[in-house]
Amino acid sequence: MQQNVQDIAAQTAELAKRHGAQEARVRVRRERYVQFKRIEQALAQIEESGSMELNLSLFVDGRFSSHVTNDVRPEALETFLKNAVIMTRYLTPDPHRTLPASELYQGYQPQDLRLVDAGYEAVDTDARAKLVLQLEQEVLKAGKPLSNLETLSYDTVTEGALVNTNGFSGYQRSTEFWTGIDLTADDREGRKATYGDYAGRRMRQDLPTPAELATRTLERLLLSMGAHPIKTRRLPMVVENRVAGRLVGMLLEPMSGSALQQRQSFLEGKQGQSIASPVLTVIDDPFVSGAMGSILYDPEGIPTQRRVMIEKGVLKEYWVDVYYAHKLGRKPTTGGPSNLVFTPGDRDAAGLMKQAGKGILVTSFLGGNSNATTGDFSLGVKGFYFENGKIGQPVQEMNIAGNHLEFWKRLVALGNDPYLNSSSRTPSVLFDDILFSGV
Amino acid sequence: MSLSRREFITRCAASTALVAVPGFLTSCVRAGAPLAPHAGVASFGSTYFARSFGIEESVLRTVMQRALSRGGEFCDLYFEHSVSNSIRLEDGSVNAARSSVDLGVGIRVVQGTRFGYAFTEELTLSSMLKAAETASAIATGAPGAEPLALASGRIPDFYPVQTLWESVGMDQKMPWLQAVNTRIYQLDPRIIKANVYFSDSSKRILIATSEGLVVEDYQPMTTLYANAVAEQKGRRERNSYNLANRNGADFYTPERLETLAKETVRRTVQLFDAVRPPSGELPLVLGPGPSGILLHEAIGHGIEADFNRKKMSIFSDKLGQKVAIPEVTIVDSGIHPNQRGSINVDDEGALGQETTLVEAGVLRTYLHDRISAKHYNVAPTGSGRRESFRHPPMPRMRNTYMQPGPHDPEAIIRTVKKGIYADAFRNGQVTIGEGSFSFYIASGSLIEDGKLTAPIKDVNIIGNGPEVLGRITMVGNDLQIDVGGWTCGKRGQSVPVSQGMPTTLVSSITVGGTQG
Repeated sequence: MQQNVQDIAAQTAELAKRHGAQEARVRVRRERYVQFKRIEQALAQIEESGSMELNLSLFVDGRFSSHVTNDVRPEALETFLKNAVIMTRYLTPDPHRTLPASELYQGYQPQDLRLVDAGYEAVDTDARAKLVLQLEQEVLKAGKPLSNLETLSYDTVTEGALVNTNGFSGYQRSTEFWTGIDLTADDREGRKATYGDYAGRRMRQDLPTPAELATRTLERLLLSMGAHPIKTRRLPMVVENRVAGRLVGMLLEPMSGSALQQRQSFLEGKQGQSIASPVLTVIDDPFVSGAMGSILYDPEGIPTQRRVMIEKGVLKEYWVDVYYAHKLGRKPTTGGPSNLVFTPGDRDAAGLMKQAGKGILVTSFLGGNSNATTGDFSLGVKGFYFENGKIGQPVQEMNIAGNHLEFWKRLVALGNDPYLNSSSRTPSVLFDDILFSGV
Repeated sequence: MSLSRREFITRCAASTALVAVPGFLTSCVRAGAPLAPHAGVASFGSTYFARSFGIEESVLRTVMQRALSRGGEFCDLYFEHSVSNSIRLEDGSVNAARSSVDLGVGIRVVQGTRFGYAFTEELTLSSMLKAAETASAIATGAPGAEPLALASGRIPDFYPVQTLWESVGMDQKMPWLQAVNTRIYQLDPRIIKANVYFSDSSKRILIATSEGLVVEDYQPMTTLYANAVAEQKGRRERNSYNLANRNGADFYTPERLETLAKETVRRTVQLFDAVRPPSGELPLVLGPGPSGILLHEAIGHGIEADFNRKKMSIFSDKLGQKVAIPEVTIVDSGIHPNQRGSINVDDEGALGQETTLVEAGVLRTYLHDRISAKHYNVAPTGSGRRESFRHPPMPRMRNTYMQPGPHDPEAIIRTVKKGIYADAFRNGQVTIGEGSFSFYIASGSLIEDGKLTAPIKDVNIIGNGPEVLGRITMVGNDLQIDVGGWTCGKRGQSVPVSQGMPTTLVSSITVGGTQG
């Protein structure tokens, strides 16, 4: 299997050169995907597929283009490449478009990041069907009235190969296993209360048990009955680890080379300056064992490195790919984050609520957006009002807004509970004095 | 709803999302085989998939027989060949291009409301039979009904195109980007950066069902998007605008390119005067056109029948009930000429049509796909859509709009003492069960004493669907259908949509500003 995708990548790179590209990057990705879903206490959906995608970057006479196809029949691929090269020749030359400098490949040493469950092949239809059934049974056991109950499991095995014609080739393989429960119950005045919870891991054995997932999903659903907006007011805010990634993502978005070079970054010129509270340290760490964002090389074929991006609130580094590095006259780092790792605090979400006394625990965001050029943002929130550290009135249809440069100074503490389902391993976070818009 | 793979990662609550900016540089193609002219009708031997990939009637029948071999009551095959191209202008030159090809067939076996689904990217008989076998696993019994003899269906043509994208060269497309870029810089000296993205796509589909239908469609799409950054006294602002249509090269008239440049610049530089609005409940006047986002979020998703069949929607018990004042009539349409959400045929073979959802304030119907229409024992509404052959269809919106009402738009604004006016939006989202929705304003202003005053920026509006519908108090006479690139996401599947609206007053809604 390994030989196969790497061979395809190498052969396609050769083909690109034959058709007139001086240099090329080829990425081949192959995936198998199986999903089982139970609805209304019956196996309702089974999906299974295998797919392959071929991604090419072509460097032709000082010009650049990229292409993707899943039609890899030899004659179709020939025509595709021929046309791709013709198309590229129409473009304006751009000297900033190159493959990574070959020095960047030196010392590349693939290591085992523990991303593959060796037992993947042994997981069969019965095992998958049993898992969604167990999830359902654990929910039903509690005997709560529900208007809808859906349980789901899916898993993937993915392998990818990358070839840069100036001297890099890489291969990675990984597995993922996901389980989830989605619940709906009748709430006041014809409304429904809904809650879903999910877990994803590289290794099947690391998933929470069906009982754990069912218990916490049901508990949250019941607590969220009767939610409504409360009066507009200022309060401390705890954002739960599973949604804190949305907030962090908005702060990190303007740290990309393209945002900087295109003058769309409120963090332009802020390297070395304090942009957040000293409790915030963010590390881009591609080597976390078994983590969702662990990678050996980035999408351009640059071997990955661990980097401190924000240290005690001070902006240390940007994510700059090869193209924007050339345009900005900087050294490339990498185009985007692998795993985001945070220096943990000393308590979990419950502990942060205790620390704050009263406030709002945000369990999900609704819509909203953030302006990476100015730092202004506005976001819908849902969650619970808490007092004496205890969850109370459920709230929804409320909103928070501000500017990131001011907002992140209000960060009081990080939790010790990194979210493991995502490459953004955010802990729960506590902010002080946030304006919640409501009625 | 979120039990799907992509939403697992991005979101947790049961919700759907709508974004204004399509995923440029992610789709594409230059086809190997030349595409035939618009083929509304197909007789065997002449279909695109027969010519290009050898998908003859006998192949369809053999695959469907295998799909029904374990007792499924219905099956369908969805073949797709999509070819797209995009090009990008940055820092004054058109210096990046992308093409993409996507090819495959999705096979679905249905048993009541349950289904098995599999796809293959290899259109060989052995691969298709294997996928059919996988999909058939939803049923466990003796062979079901034989597929009926296949007959070609005739379909309408809601997106006539004079020149197919296959025959439009780079040399014809590149000047559009250059022209928009040049105009953006000409229009205001404060502009310091501009980006322009163009994409075109030609999607060929063939649907065959065990009930004997075979239908083929050619679905073109194009988008032109402009983004500008302006600087004034060291402060920078950015905004964007885009055009999208199921259309060919003729869509890009000089007037349209001028509108794109002008609107991009207007939206950008007005932000220098913009304020963050107050927080809390205020009256909201929605301008004509893109404000249809309100309908999309406040009611559209909530009446997609899959959510109601499973009693997951706040609208589950509201059919036949009054949901708004009599001036409110809401339509979801697949038949608007060349609109982004129009479809000659849905992705299950039901003909393109228009569906009145709310008639004079009363909720008339849900949006149905085949499974829900059968469950409710009603005719399908032509709303069964899917992102690609990789995905099973489900009820989706097309072009959603409100019919014009009696009021003069100016008169509507004059009734508001202190409130918000909004006429452009970036994105929206809704949770189906609770009915909570939000949308983010890209352009708008304060209303003070019946007049539009300072522009506003970066504000999210949040409310509850049925509540807000009930608070629509005035409907204007100036319906416009938006020509923007809206993409709707549901359960991890994206489909192109559009929307429209006359000027409308919502008496009260929560405004997510920064001033307490």
